[in-house]
Order: sequence, then structure tokens, then C-alpha cells
Amino acid sequence: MGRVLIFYKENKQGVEKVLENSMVKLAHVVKRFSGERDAAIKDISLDIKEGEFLTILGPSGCGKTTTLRIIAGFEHADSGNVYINNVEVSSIPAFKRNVNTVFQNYALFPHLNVFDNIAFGLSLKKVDKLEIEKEVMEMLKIVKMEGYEARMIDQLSGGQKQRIAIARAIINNPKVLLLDEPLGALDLKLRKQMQLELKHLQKKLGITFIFVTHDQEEAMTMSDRICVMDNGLIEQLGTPEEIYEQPQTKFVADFIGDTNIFEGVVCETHNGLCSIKLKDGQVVNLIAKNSSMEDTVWFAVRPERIFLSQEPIDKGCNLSVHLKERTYIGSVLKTTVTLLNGREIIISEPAANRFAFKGESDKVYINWNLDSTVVMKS
Amino acid sequence: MELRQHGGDEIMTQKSFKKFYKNIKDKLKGQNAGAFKTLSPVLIWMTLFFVVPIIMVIIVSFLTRGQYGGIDYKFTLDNYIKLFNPLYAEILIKSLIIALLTTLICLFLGYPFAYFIARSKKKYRHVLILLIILPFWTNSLVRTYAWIILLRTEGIINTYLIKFGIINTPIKLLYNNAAVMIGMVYMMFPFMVLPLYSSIEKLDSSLLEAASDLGATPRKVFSKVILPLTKPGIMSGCLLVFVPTLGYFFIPDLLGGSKVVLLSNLIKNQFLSARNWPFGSAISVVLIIIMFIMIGLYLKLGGNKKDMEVL
Repeated sequence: MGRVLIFYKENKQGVEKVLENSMVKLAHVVKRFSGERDAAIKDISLDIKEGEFLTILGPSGCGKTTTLRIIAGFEHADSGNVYINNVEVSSIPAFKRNVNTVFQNYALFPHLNVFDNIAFGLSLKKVDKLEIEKEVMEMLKIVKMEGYEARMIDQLSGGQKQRIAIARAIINNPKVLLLDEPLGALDLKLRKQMQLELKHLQKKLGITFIFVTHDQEEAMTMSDRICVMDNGLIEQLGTPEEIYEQPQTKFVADFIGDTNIFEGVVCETHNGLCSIKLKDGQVVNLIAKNSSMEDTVWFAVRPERIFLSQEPIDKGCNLSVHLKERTYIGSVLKTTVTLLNGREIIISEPAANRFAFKGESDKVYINWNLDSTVVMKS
Repeated sequence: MELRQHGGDEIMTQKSFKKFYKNIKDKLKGQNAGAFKTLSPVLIWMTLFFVVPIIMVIIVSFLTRGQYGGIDYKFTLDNYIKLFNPLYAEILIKSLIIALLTTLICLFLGYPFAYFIARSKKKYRHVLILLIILPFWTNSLVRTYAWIILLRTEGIINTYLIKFGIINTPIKLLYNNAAVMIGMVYMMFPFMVLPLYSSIEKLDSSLLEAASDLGATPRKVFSKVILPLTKPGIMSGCLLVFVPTLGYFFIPDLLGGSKVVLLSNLIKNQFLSARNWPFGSAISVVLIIIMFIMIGLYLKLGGNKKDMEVL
């Protein structure tokens, strides 16, 4: 999937038109809540394509839910533009937008039964009664809740409510489905199951999904692309693989999975290959183009890319460390070592390695391949 | 023969009394003994000052008025038959209409008001609710007198209307049905707002968002989500306004003058001026029956006892 973004700028009305297959587009959206010092959303531009499963991932308070609410029309951006299906929607109220939302707490109507909840959108559109019944039954089948149509909402379990909330949203055949941490209230097993079901549903229906979560594993499992947010800004936008393998910022590297972040100063460069002097005085090599002498560089190495040895193995990078702790936790072996200045490094090896390396003495070496290092912007 | 019969009766009463006593003793020892003991002061209080007086009123309503305003212990249905006199039937209907109108006006004024409070910022909510409750700390009779000062011919409203040249001669604001309605609405307003407030406040705002997300216009959001979900508040508010409105005698007395006679001040007059206690009791019984019907209706229509708990 190539990510080429072309804009048709300005038609006769002076309205910016975007690429045909763009479904939702945010352009320099800013949102500030009254009484708060920092803007909830500082400046967000995002292009979501038709049929894409995009996850907005970030810690609580990063502005991800606000972004979703701006797309839904519950909040209005202070500045910037929002396009849905190439139409500027800033002045269009929520009830006229062709998007539907699955809410964090489901927001099912407690005074209506399952059938009437799902039929809510269609009955507002004055769809024929028989047609509604047919559609609702079809939806119940899709979310595997046949036979529950007469139940009241308080008679459903969390997972069932979840399914009804999804059915209520997708029956309207929206262009975009917005999901605000919809799996947050479910237990782990059910959540894993729903993740896959949602993914399959999205494939089947071909609807654009914008999914908000703070759970990085969930984001990795489900998404075509992940948009990592922090502090009202997009940190990185990319496929799960890109996000994991090439984090562009310290925040992303730290937030997605476990990682070790090093800081050092360039002390030698040769055709992009740099020698970095770490804070404890040791020197490692890495590839960092556009770096010059005396630059401060941050880089990350994933715990599973590091291996231990008694003697230094010259694969480009090795550091002398003290062995602190080694814990066998079943699938992997978790090891903590410290640099000479006391900084901790975590290492995760396949459990089988516990026979290969025993760690006879306190002083050992950590090694990684040159291509395991990811250099980041600040 | 007569004596023996009498004696037998006495034994019966003794037996039943013993049974009753045993029953209480069992209750005091049983599983709910704690609750029973704790509640007994309340039970005694309610029995003495609520149940017994009501039974007395019911009994008196079937007795005859004495020559000098007392009670003759002679059974009669005259007091109830008298109620079918068109004069009294008219008063009953008028009272019901005024209570109904008061309820409706309170509802239509109170709903937006309660909605505004419930949807305002949390830190202002308590202040606004306090402002609603504040008048309760002043005697209601005094507050009704205040309305006389506002409404009477040389009153504040008329004075200023003349001063600003809007009218030349004072309007008759006091001593008519409208004045009674104003007083009633004013007095009962908080009883409408508080249950409405508590049910609107409970309303989850994400439900409103969900409705508009599914394509409901603001009007549809109101009729399809807000209204059905605040129905318990509307019902208990209406009940709490309608029932006391039938019983507030000093408002028609003070603001309606002698011209507005409602069920409530009719009862008062029967007891105090006309000294016809049996007839006053009969009207009271009718009032009590109306109240029970209203409460029954409320519970049947899915109202909740809990929603009646305000303040």
C-alpha cells in the first residue's frame, strides 16, 4: 500500500479538495478547552484512507479522544479543517455527518431494548418497518447476537453490550466508524477475541475504522496504520511494523513495547557511520546520516535484539556491563544489566539461551548488530 | 344471658389481645428484631399521629353534626350525599383544574430550569440548587403575604406600571383565580424542579451524543432520549406538585380572598367557621382518596418510590 498523498488544491469555491481515496482528513486542527492552559490538540494533520483501519494510540490525556470527537462532530476545532469524504464538515453538526461512533461506555439507550437500540438510526430516517426488521436481524447475525432482540440493555453482559453498540453503529452504513476505546471495559480474553472479530468485521464491511486506544498491543494487532499521539501532537504515523522497528521519537520508542534508549555524543564520523561516546565513557558504532561531530544522538535498541556474552563479540556494538539480575519467566529470559554509570539495560532472550550463556562472573558484555539500532529525533 | 354473652366477649378480646402481644413479642425476638426495635419510635409516632387521626377523620365523616357544632354519634351518609350538590361538585372540579394547571405550569417552567441547572458547571450547580431551596427557610405564610404586597391594587407591581405610564388605572391582580395560581406555582415550583433536576442530572451525556451520532436532530434527541429517560422525574415532580396543591388552604384564602373557594379552604371553613366537622371530614376523605388514586397511578405508570425522595 503506497502512501502517496496528492492534493487537488482549490476548486472554484476555493475549497480544498483532497485525493479521491481519502476518507477523513484533518488539516492543522487545533483545539483548546476553556480554562486549560495547554491546548488539547496543538496541531494535527492526518489523512485516513477509504477502508483503512487506523488506530490513534497514546497515553490518557494525549488528545486522542478529542481528535475522534472532532471527527464525530461532538467537539469543534478552534482552527483547521476537517474533511469527511472530501467535504469540509466543520460547520456540519454531528447528526448530519455520515459517521457513527462506538462509545467507550457503549452509551446504549437504557429505555429501549436491543432491537430498538439497533433500529434507532434507521427509524429516525423513517425507513420502512419491515426493512428495519430485516436489517436489524441481519446485524444481530453479524455480531452473533441472534435471539437477543427483546432483551433490555441492563440484562446484557459487557461483551454483549459491546456487540450491540457496534451493530447500532454499523446498521447506518456509515462511511467511517469511530471507536473510542471500545474494548477497554472487557476482560483480557474477551478483548483479544473482540479485537480479531472487529478486524474481520472491518475487512468484511470495507468501512473505514478509526480506533482509539491506549493499549499498544491492541493497536499492533488490529491496525493498518497507527498514529501515535502525545501531548496534543502526532509523534509518528506508520504501519505497526514501522512504529515498532523504526520509532522516530524517544516517546514512540518508549511507548511501544520495551526498549533501551541511549544518549551519546558523536565523536567520530565516517560516511554516515558514527562512533558515539555514551555517558559512561564507552563508545559504540551506529549509522546516523546527517550527524556531525559533537552532535547529541539518541538511539534505541530493543531488548530482544541484545545478546549477552562473556567476552566481547565484535558485531559493531558491544558494551561492558555488570550483570544485575536474570529471571526466567517461561517464554523468555529477562536480564537486567547496568552500565558503568549505573544505568540499567534490559535484555530479553529466548528461554533456550539460558544454557548457552550462564553468566559465570559479574562482568559481562552486551552485543547487538549494527542494524538493530534506531536513531531518533530528540 | 346477656351477662354471659358479655363475659364471652371479654374473654375473646383478652385472647386476641394475648395473641397480639405474643406477636409483638415474637417480632422483638425474631430475625428482624433489631429493625423492629429501631423503628418502633417511628412506628409509634406514625400510628399515633398519622394512622389514628385518619381513622378518626373517616369515622367522623359518617357521623352527624351536633346542634352547636359538636358531633352526634349517629351514623349517616348525608355528608357524602351532600358532596353531590352541584355547588360542591363545582368546587371539587375547580380544585382539580387549578391543581392540574399549577402542575402543568410548574412542569413547563421547571423543566428548562432544571435542565439548565443540571447541565451547568458542577461548581455552580450547588449554588443554583441552594437558591431553589432558600425560600424554604422562610415561613410559607410570610412568603404568601409578600405576594399580597406585590399584587394588590396599591402594590409594587401596579405602582410601577402606573409610574412608567404603561397603565393608567391599577389592574386587578389580587383576589382572583390568577392570583391563586401565581401563589401555587410559586410555592410548588421547587417540588417540581428538584425531582426533575435529580433525574436530568443522572442523564448520561454520552447517550445524547449517541443519539445525535445516529442522526437525531436536537428535537429528536429530546423526544426520543431525554424525555423518556427523565420520565420518572417528571412523574414524581407532577405528583409532588399536584397533591399538595389540593391541600394548601392558605394560598386560596390569602390570595383568592373570599372569592376563590377550593377543596382545601372549604375543609378549613367547615372545621373552623361552619363548625361542621362531619362534613369537613367527608371532604377530607375525598381528598385523601384522590391522593391515593394519584399515588397509585404514579406507581402503576412505572414511577419509582425512590424518585419521590427529594431534599
